[in-house]
Amino acid sequence: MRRLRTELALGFRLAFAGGRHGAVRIAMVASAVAIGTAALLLAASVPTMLDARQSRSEARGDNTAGEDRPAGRTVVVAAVEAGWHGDDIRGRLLWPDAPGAPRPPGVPAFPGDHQMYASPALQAALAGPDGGTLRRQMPYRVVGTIGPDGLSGPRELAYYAGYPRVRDRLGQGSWRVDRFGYPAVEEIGDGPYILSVTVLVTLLLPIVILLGAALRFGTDRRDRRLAAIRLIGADHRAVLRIALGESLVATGFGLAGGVALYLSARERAAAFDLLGFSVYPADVRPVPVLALATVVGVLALSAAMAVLGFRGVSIEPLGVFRQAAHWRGRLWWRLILPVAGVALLYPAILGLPDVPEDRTGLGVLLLLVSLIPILPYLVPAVARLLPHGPASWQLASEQLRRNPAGSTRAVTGIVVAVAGAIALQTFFAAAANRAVDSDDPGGPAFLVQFTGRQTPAAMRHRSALFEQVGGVTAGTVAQYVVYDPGNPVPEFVIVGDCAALSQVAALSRCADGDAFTTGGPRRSVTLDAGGSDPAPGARIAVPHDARRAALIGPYLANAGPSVLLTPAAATAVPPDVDPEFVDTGIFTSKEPAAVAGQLRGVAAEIDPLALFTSLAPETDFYAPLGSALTVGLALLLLMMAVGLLLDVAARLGERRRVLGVLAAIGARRSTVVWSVLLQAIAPVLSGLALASGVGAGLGALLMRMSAVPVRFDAPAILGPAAAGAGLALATTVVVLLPAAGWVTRTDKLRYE
Amino acid sequence: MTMRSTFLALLEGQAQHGYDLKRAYDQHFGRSRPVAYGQVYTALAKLLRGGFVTVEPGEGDGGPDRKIYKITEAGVTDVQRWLDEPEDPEQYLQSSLYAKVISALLTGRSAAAVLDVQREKHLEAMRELTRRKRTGDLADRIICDHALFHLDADLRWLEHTATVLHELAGQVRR
Amino acid sequence: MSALLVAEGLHKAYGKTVALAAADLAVRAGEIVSVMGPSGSGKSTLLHCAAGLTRPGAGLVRYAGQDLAQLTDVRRSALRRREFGFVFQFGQLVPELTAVQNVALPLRLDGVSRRAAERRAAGWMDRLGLADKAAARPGELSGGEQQRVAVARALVGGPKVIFADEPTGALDSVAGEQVMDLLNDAARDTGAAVVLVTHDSRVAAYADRGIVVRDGRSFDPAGVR
Repeated sequence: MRRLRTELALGFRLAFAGGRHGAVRIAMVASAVAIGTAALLLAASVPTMLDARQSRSEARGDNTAGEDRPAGRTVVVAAVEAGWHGDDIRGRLLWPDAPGAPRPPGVPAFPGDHQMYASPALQAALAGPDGGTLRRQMPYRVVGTIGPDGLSGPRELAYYAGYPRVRDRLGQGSWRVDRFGYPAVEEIGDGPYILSVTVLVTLLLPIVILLGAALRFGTDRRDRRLAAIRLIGADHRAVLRIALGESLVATGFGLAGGVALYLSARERAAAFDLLGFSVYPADVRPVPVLALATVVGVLALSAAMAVLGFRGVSIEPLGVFRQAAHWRGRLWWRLILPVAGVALLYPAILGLPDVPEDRTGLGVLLLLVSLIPILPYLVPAVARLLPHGPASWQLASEQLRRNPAGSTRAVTGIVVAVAGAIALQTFFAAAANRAVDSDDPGGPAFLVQFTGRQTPAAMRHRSALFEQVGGVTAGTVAQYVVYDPGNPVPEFVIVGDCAALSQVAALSRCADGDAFTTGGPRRSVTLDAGGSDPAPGARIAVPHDARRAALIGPYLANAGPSVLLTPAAATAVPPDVDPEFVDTGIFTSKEPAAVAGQLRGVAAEIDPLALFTSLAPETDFYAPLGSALTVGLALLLLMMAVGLLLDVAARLGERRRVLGVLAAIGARRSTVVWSVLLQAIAPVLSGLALASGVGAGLGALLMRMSAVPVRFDAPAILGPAAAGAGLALATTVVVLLPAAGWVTRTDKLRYE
Repeated sequence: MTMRSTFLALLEGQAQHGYDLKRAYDQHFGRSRPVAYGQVYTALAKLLRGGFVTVEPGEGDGGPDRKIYKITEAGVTDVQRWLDEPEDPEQYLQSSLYAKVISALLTGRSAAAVLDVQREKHLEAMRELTRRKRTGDLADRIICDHALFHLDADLRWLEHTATVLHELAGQVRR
Repeated sequence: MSALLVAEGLHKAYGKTVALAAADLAVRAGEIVSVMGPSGSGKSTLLHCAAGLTRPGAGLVRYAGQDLAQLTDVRRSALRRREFGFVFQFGQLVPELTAVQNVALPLRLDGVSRRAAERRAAGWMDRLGLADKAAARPGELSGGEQQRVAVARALVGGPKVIFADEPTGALDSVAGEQVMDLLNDAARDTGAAVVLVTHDSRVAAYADRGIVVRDGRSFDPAGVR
């Protein structure tokens, strides 16, 4: 026991007394372990976060799935489609049928008429810039705040407003509930969990690589010490324990740092909102078993890496013996991973429908990971391809061919990260392009749909209300459904003035009293009079002089052969038949996002229950992902750079004697330095070429899967590649320049 | 030659009787083998003839040994020349061992054995010197060291010769 | 009196290079045996085999009746801690530890408490004239002082055999002599045997007897066997 303690203590001792090398080593290992620990603890907290969110979402669930509840101690609720700067707002209008009716969680009392309880985030948005525009969507007085148990997360935009008239709209946007806590129909499912865990685990790969590089740093010095200790009577296991004791110091620091990092991330958790997902710090709690597994796992990983560091190295009393790395440049097993990856992706590449997402995900992962074994094969192949060159290249290529694994080790991480980044950046760039272009440049930017019948004058007035917003033109039509039970594509009778109809179909000329048909000429149509089930209603004669027209915009995709009537031609439509919807199509010459807020406000003022649809995206959905990716890539590359830095320094140390001899026999310093530089650059360049190819391929696949037209964006490919190359070069030069002096000094030779 | 020069050196320090000269020589150089009285006078006679010393009658009871010897200018110059001129390396050990090695090779006996016997003899002497040196004072140590360094040099020659014996045998037998 | 350490018929090759062809070595308790020979003759390999640091290709090494080749790494390591001491040319001290900690290290590895180990170590430091260097690190010591620390460390465990491989190889003659004097006295006082590998006959002259290794073969010029 005392011996074990002595050996571990000796390891601690060696860790602390290692001088500058030792300090760098500890700092690197500790920071790698810290980042890894924090990431794992966050991953361990994801289930708790999702559970908490899920249970809160369920507690307020009001979706009765269409079932009718008899009035009693009940509440009438209506869901409001609202949005703000691309985020959904969960709006509920409600009015109790009786005192003592159930209240949604987080709300202390029913709000009175035109009063509301709002979430803190919504209150902040109302008080923030342009809050007046937002207020038009919810013209209610804030009387209180929704408590945390009524919100899915701290950044959620939500309100409950008192609105007595919802009782008049039962079945037409409002419904009755006898409790809150109906199971949510929109199950969150495992998707976010798998996504976040995948991201965190992917983050772990470079961390493990960094950890490996940090643990490798300065091992040759340590191994010599251990050999000296072997000589005076330490056995194999004692040496291992001493090395473990040494790595434990750094791992311990790292664990402490990781917990601190986790706690500070947890503190700030409430400030983050990614794709409408935000969490309360209190919900960020690791699952105890997983937290324990994290600590044990990190310790085990670090110990395993320390032990693995002795692979192929034998610490003997007489010195350190490295088994000559017998490089077997076999290709076949390196191809297993990429072939498997391509096989998994094959259906997606062919564009077959209904490819399971996890299959594709696994394929992408395999393809990215397959870069790791391919690179060490590629590099000596490149070195063989270019056999001629100056002496410096000859030296470098010889070393690359002899020890490709060692030469490429540090670069592999960069290559994988760059390939992944290129794939995603390419995809985001293409998606962003599509968002800017929009599907149909001629179509409306927004479509607002109301229920209830409207006179032609009222419809014109409604359009005018929207047109008060600058840069906007609007047209309002009433849509009646045609009774035709066998037909899956609904046909419509669409009534509106010429201006409005010209948004629905391409009309050559139009005057009040004109009628048009799309599809084919017809005599009459039967209107649908049913509610949820179709039933034949009034029969309308189509005017003889109806001309042919072609549907455009969203109608082209959503409507079958239809009849278009101007008000004067629509007298045959009985006034007691309700249109399915009264649609207002809105065009704008401005950025849709710039006017969306105001238009939503107008719509809400006309009818709080209006259905507001953005046909052009108000915001770039992938923009936050894109910037998150950029930040992630920067962090990743930074970590890799540190790893590379350590690796180049360590390799330089290993090769110092050879380089010194070269200098001694009269090689110019520039030759020696260039040989080391080339030895570092060649793997980087070959790796990045490979990464660009694989990344672009994966990007194309992603575009194809998301039905985004395949196109390549030069900055998206060259950006990450250039960042990777620049970083690798800068790192190498940073190590090499100061080292150029001592590396070529010959006076230290005899001590080696 | 060496004895003659040391006598001159002693006289340069102080003019003295022949008898005192012998005692001084014995004290400084002749520890193990005192010089014979006759040798001193033979040497002095030669020096006198060569003009390196002069004789002055001494005081006292007029015995045969009452002459005082004194160094001349030429004598001082001669001492200087002797000190300035490096000695020829001593030859005899190598020449006799060389003769043995060659003889062994010519007669088909083991020359290595000759060398090994010699090296053990040398080492034995060195062990003895090392023991003596470790019990003596500084002067003893320095004297022993001198012998040790010489023996060490011989041993190196032996070691070196041993490594080229094969080649040497080829040349000798040709 | 029979020999404490016997090596017989040792053969060792590194690849195609034969380091030892047929080498013997016998060491009786308390005696100092020199191993001489030209560089590359295999004298260091002989020492390494005799100390169990290298496994010979053929031949037998027997220490106090045990065949070293039969011992596990653990047992051989324990032997190095308790029965053997080592003084090499250089590179044997742990630079991170102070001189006294270096000397105490074999005892610490053997489970002796820190206080007891360092007390014994300090005693040896004193004896080798290093009393004021206890807290210095190897980098702050001269070559001769480092070798004296190594000698102290070789002796601290009360070894039966000290293996010294060119202990003065990196020192000038005065420092070398000092180290040899101290090693010689200490070994004779404690009754430890010394296997002294050297190419320097002045160092070999400290021995009671010597053997010569030439082309991987050993022989005893005095004919003592």
